Amino acid sequence: MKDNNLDASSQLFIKNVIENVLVYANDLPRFLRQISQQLSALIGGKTIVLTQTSKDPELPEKVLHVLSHRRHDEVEKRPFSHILTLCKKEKNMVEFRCDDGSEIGLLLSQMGYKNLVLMPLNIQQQSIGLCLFFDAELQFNSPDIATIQRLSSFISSILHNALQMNSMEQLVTQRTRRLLETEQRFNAVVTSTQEGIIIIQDGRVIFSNPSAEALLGYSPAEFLSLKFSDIIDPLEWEKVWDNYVARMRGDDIPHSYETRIVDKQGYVVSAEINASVMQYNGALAYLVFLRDITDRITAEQAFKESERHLLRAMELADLGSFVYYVKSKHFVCSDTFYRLLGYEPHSIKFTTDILKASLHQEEMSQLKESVDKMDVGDTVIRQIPYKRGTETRHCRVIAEKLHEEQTDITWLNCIIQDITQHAQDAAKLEEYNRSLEKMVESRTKTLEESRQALTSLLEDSNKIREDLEKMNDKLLKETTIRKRSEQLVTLQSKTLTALTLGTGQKEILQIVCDEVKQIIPHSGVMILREHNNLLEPCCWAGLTETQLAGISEELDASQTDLFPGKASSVNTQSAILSKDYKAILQRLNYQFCWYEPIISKNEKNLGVFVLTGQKTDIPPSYESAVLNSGAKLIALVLERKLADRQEMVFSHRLQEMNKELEAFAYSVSHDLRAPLRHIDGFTSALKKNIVDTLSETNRHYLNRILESTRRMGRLIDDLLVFSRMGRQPLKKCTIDLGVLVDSVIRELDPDISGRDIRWTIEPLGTVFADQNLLKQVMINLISNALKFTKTRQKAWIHIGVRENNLGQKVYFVKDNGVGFNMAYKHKLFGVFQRLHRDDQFEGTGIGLANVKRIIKRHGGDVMAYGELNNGAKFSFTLDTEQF
Amino acid sequence: MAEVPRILLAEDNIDDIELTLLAFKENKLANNITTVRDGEAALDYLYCRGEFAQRPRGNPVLVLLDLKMPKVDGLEVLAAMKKDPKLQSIPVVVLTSSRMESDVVESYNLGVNAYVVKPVDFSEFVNAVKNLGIFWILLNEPPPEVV
Repeated sequence: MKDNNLDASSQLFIKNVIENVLVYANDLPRFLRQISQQLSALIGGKTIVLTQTSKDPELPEKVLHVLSHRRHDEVEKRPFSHILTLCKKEKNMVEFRCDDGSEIGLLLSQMGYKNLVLMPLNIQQQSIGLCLFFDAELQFNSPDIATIQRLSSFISSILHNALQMNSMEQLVTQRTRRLLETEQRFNAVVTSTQEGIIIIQDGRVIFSNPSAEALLGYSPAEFLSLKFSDIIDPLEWEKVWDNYVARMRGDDIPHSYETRIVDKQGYVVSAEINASVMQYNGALAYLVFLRDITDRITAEQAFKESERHLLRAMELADLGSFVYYVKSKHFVCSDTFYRLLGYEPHSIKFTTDILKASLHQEEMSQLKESVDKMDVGDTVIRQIPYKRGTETRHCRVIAEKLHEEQTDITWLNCIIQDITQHAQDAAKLEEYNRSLEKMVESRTKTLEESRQALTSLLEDSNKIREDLEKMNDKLLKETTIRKRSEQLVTLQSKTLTALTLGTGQKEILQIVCDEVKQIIPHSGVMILREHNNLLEPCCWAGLTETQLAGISEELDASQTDLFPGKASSVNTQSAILSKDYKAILQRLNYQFCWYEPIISKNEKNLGVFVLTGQKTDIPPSYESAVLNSGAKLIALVLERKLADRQEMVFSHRLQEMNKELEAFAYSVSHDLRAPLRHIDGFTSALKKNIVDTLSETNRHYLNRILESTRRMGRLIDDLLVFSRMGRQPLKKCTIDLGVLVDSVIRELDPDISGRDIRWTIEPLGTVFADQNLLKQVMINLISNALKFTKTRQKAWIHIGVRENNLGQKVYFVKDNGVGFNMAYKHKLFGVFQRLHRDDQFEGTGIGLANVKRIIKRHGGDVMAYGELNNGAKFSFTLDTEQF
Repeated sequence: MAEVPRILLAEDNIDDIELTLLAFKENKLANNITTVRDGEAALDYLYCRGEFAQRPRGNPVLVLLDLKMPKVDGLEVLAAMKKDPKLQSIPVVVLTSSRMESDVVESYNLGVNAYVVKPVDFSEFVNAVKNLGIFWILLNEPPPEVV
């Protein structure tokens, strides 16, 4: 500080910088921003640029910070860096103006500034940077410049300090980073190496790497609680300890040696130790590299895995186990073993003493003796009592002595099974057996007594059994009877089904023969039909050609015996053939022969049904019943078939008649209409030519001729429709009658419009009929109703359905029209029959005839009810059968 | 050279012929009608043979056929025409008093162009002929002549 006469504002500036800004010294950009703000506040809103002198004299000064710059981007522009290059030469404070003619002045005017005050920042005559004050508007006043000058050394020194601090900090950061990198590399090596690494200090483990942890089975935290001796086989400890002491002392001894280590589970593993001494936390430490020289870590892991499964299995079976290393006298025990002895697993270190405490003195010494006597590979099984707390229990011990050459380790594998429960059970079982024996003894006695009682009972029951058998036989007979009646029903139903299905006559008769043959075993069945007063075999079953010929021959010779007298007086009762036939039967090797005449309803003889055969156990009454039913069925079949044939002939004739009718209709259609047309045509032509010359009367005659021809044309057309109605085949389907009525009413709209009609239409449901024909019916009935209500001011037409006392649905159309006299009811449905004059109600008189014809074809009926001047009701039924 | 008759009418009944011609006349369409009295004559005309061997060549624009005719009936004529590639494109209208369903169905199966049942009322017939003439003679564009 050269000048001590600082004004109040400058003092405030310094105070502010020291109190508020120095704290940012380690954050250079922020620090400089703060200084610039303070400076700006001091000088009064000028543009201030702080720069740092570059170490490289060739390069322009590096811009350190720009504050409140009018256009911040200018710092990056050429005039600005040019100014900096020029200012670099200045050693003292200088002021430039835009109009002073200097190079800097010119650049200032280019940038739009009025003037610039430049203050070099020096420390011990060395430039460390520049402080530039730009002003666009006013010139700097002299007090400002003085203030700047006074503060220059202060600013220089704090900037210098800040810069130095900054470079120190960078150095520290750099070093720290390098150190960190080294440590990371070290860690990577230590973690990734296959070798186990532990560090021992004062006999305790203070560091372990993952490989060491994997090798010995301890977690990192557990490691830190271990002593070095914990991981070394006790037999080897002395050797290891000697090496440790010598190494720490600095003796020149080999780095590596072989020994045995013990993992967490107590398993002993051969290992190579590579030891060296190092500095750790400022003290000497023992660095140990461990390598499993059995080189079977992976195999061991697999083994341990399977052993774990084994242990688990044993645990589930409640089998305890332990391994006893004979030389080192230490135990590796399973959780279950601890529990068997009444301890929490691994709550104590298991030793020979604990084993002693659990066994009786005597048992212990015996056990020891037998173990000592054991050779490698021997197995010993013993049952011994042991103590769990105060309780005495029993266990079975299986011990096996094993030895491994490579490591020279001898150990015992022991499995312990608690058999206390077994022992107790066995005792109980013995007790139970004894009581059982007693019971058997007494029971045997009782049984003997009952046996005697039973023998006498059995004798009685034999009698009962005989009675039962008799009853059973009776029952069996009844069952047979029932079965036979069932067979007869089957025979009937099969025959009738075939008949219904339209099976041929011959086939049905064969069915009857086959069925009867089934019902009567070992039988021959034959149907003989009457033909020209002679009997001829028609169908048979169970007969050979020879037998057939034999029977026919005999029958030919004895026609008169079979049919005594005329056919009408045939005895309808079945009978055994007369004595004369015994010879035939014998010759044909038959023992019986039944016959039954086949008689039609009108007592006409149609043939004979014959049943022959060997003697069976079937009672004769049944055979005759079968024969009787068979004959009746055959008669039914023959009669029905005959009727069918007659019907066919009839229907054929009907078809022919229909064809004739069709031809007639054709001729009516064509031949009758033609002359009518001609009359009409020529009359029309005549009328056209002479109408003007005719008198009123003659014109009337001409019109009457024309009207008559047209009316006759309509009659012929209607007659044609009527004849067609009867010939068209019915195409029946399910029809919604309500929908049909709706469509009819729509079609009749021309007759309806302009009239006052009240319609009552009930739900009508569906019918099974020919759609077109039924529609014709409804058109006729409804249009009739419309026609005959024409004279009514307010017409009422009611369409509905009722059920009659036969359960049939009766559909009706009722009106309040002119009605009719019931005396003429019979004329309503005749062709061309009319109850009204044409000038009253037009029509050809064919409509209701059509209705009747259609309804009749549908298997229904039409009915009419009327009262003169009081409405009419037409109803009809339809065949409800769908097929 | 005489103009080719444009319509062929095959009808056996003399009254029907007269009335049909009258109906055509009423509609001022009667100038170009040739009348034949049976199916055989109709075919002779169409094939220019027999009595028509000398007639000017060319197909009629319309054939009106009665169904019930001696020798060869209307349906046979129709069948023959529709089988022959040279004649099948000539429009044929069946003009008959038969309402038999089988006749109508058969005619349409054979490929008839229209089926008209002659009404008893003459004025209706005149009307029907008028519509027929307007459509088949005046409006319908005949196919190009096959030679």
